Amino acid sequence: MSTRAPDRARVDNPQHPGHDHDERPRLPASRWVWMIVGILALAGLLAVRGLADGAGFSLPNQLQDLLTLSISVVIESLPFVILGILLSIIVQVWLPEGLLMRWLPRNPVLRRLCISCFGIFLPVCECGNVPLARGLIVKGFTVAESMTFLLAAPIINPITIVTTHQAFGFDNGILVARIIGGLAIANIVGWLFSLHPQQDSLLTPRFAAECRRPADHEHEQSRWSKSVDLFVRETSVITPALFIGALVAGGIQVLVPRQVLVTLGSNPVWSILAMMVLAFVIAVCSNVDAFFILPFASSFMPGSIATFLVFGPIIDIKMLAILRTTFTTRVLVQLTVIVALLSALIGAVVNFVV
Amino acid sequence: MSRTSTELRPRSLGRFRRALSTVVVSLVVLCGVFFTLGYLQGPKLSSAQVDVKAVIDQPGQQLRLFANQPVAQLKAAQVVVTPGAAHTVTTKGDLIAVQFAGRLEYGTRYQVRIDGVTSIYQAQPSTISYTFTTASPDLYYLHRGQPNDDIMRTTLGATGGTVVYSAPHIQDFVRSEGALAVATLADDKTSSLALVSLTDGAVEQVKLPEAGVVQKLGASPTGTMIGFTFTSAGDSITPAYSSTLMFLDLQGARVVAPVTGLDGKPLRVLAWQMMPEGTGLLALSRERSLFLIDPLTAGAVTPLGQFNDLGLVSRDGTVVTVNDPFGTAVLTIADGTQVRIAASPVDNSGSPTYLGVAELVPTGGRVEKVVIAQPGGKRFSSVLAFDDGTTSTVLYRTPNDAGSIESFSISPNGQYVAIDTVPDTSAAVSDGYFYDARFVGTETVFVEIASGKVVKSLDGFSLNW
Repeated sequence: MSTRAPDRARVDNPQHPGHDHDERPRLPASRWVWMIVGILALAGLLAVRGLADGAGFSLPNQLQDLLTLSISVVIESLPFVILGILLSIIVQVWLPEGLLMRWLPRNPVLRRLCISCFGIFLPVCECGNVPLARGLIVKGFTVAESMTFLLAAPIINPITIVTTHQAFGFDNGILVARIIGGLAIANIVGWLFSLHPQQDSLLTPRFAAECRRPADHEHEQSRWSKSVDLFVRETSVITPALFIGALVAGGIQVLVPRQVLVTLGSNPVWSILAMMVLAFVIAVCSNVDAFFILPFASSFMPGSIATFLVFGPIIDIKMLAILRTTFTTRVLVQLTVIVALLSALIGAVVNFVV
Repeated sequence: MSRTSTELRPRSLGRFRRALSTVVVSLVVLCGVFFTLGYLQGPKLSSAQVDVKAVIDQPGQQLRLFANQPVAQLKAAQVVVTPGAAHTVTTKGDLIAVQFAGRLEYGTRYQVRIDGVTSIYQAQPSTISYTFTTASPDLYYLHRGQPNDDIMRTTLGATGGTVVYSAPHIQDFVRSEGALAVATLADDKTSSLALVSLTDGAVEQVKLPEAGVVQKLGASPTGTMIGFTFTSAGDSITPAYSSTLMFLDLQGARVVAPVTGLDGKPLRVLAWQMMPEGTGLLALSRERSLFLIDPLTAGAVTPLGQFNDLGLVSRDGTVVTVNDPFGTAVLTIADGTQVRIAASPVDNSGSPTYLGVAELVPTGGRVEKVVIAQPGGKRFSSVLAFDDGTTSTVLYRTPNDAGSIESFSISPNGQYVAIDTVPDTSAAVSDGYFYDARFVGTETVFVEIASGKVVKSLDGFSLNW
């Protein structure tokens, strides 16, 4: 009873100890091709945008908006994705085996609580935390523990806390609600998914397969070689998802005018829901979202602002696209429902108390 | 012995699903409860902004109350200010702005309560209440002593004061925005003029046109213009400057220049007053013509009529008391209309009352220096009285009527009057200053106009609010 299987369970490795080199090919040519295609696509988008300004011809307004919004999401997120991948490489390749595990409490609740505080030391927004969370799973964390880190880190990372404080100070308890709310959501979700008996079934088959690969698989490789391998692999998985998410976020913002949500959100009853929809659609990075929402603070209730600030960093279009590289659709639906309800509750409590 | 995952799944997955369902249902219920509670409680105060210094210095200041949601329009009657103060109210989004018509009282705790505040989306009313305490203004006065004279700073509630500037033989001083202008007298009976920064105490000497005497210093406390009369030193029959009105703009080149009259020549004056706001001034020429002049604008000279003497400008800068051979009148500066005034009987005694200097109180009525006959009619006393237009109430008289009231000035908010007084003239001795001499022991007494209560006295004079 003391070592309840679901919580302590690592990703199942039914194939182990057999080495299956075909399961995780080194660097398939298709990955290089896709990476080059992605870079060219981004360069193409930027070139079209630049040419439209410089050469005098103009794109249709909606297309311009789509390009601007999508590129802005990509540019805003890409540095953090790269940083997250680098941190993931450090965790997977460079940290001594078992270092993180050794220092964490054995009690599952305390353990998740500690993991949810990892973000304090990592100035990475939500997109960058996905590769890092993937790295933690590969390194032996349970899916639930990794999820706990993933949900809390973008909210309690130092840049997010500083920018939120600069935007709101301690007014209306928004900063406090964001930090406490973020930790609470992460730990509740972590607890809930720790009850799942099949942790690996929460993952996509492809990523689960990567996780099943034994640690001594690449014993012939040097650490640098492993790092390059991991960087290329993670980049080729995460960046297409980022581009698709950014494109969808830009598209929805073009199709659904922001003013519609703002008008809806002025009603105290609907403001929390409207803020969640707004956060979902605009997909702004958690490091700067406080400044984005600051102009709305005078017309929205504090609770709806708090909801925006806890919901947005966890669930938005771009994040769902990136998370889909790791988790199954069913898990993402469950995650979205729980996080949405918890965010709404935090907003309602703030509105009542403040 | 371990079970396989296939054996584990049915029971454990059920537990996960039950937990998930329980969490979802619980959260839905909790959300519903808090949404309902939030809906029923109406708008609440999130934060408030008020400049407790500005509300005593300037009329028209705002208390800005931020609700936690957009609020519906409010009427002024829904807003109760205690103690009472005229106000208006406007709303925009979550902001409720209560604007005070006049200046508020010093060092006073105000409560603003707004009843029936509703959101623009729901009719559930709530009451918003906010309290704040206004600042007490810095008061500056001149204390003459040995070997130096001191310009002191204090407040109404303070027991002592601090020295702001110290120098031998300070003639007079005035306060402008951020600086004091101080005239000191040398042994050769000529003046020098210095500017003393109120932020860091730095002293800057002002270059005067030539050796001479500075008198009748004046300034607007909220402006950067300083004025004074200047008379050349020596006994020349045709001095270059003789009670010539000069000005100095602290925001400009800080060069002393004469104020010019209608003919474009430097103006020699009997009296002058700085307007409370802006750069304008009123000057009564030696020919007894009164002008409204803006020294910074060429040709901005407006004649206002012929008068014997110039009284005090009201704090709002709209009227001034003047004297002519027929008595005292209140002159409206904008259109030159005059309203004759006479002192109302003091305390309905029926005794004759003779009006001296009068100043309008911003909140209504006048403070007047009047002379009244004592019972029997053989002796007369000089007192300070508040005149509401019908009757006068004595605000201050010297002990046993043995002293004299030299001058007085009303606080910008109309709450207090500061009185320069010599307690006992029979024992008073001059301090011997060649210009601007005062009696030793001259003190300043502060009286609350509404109650006639003496709230403070200090050893010194030339009070600058």
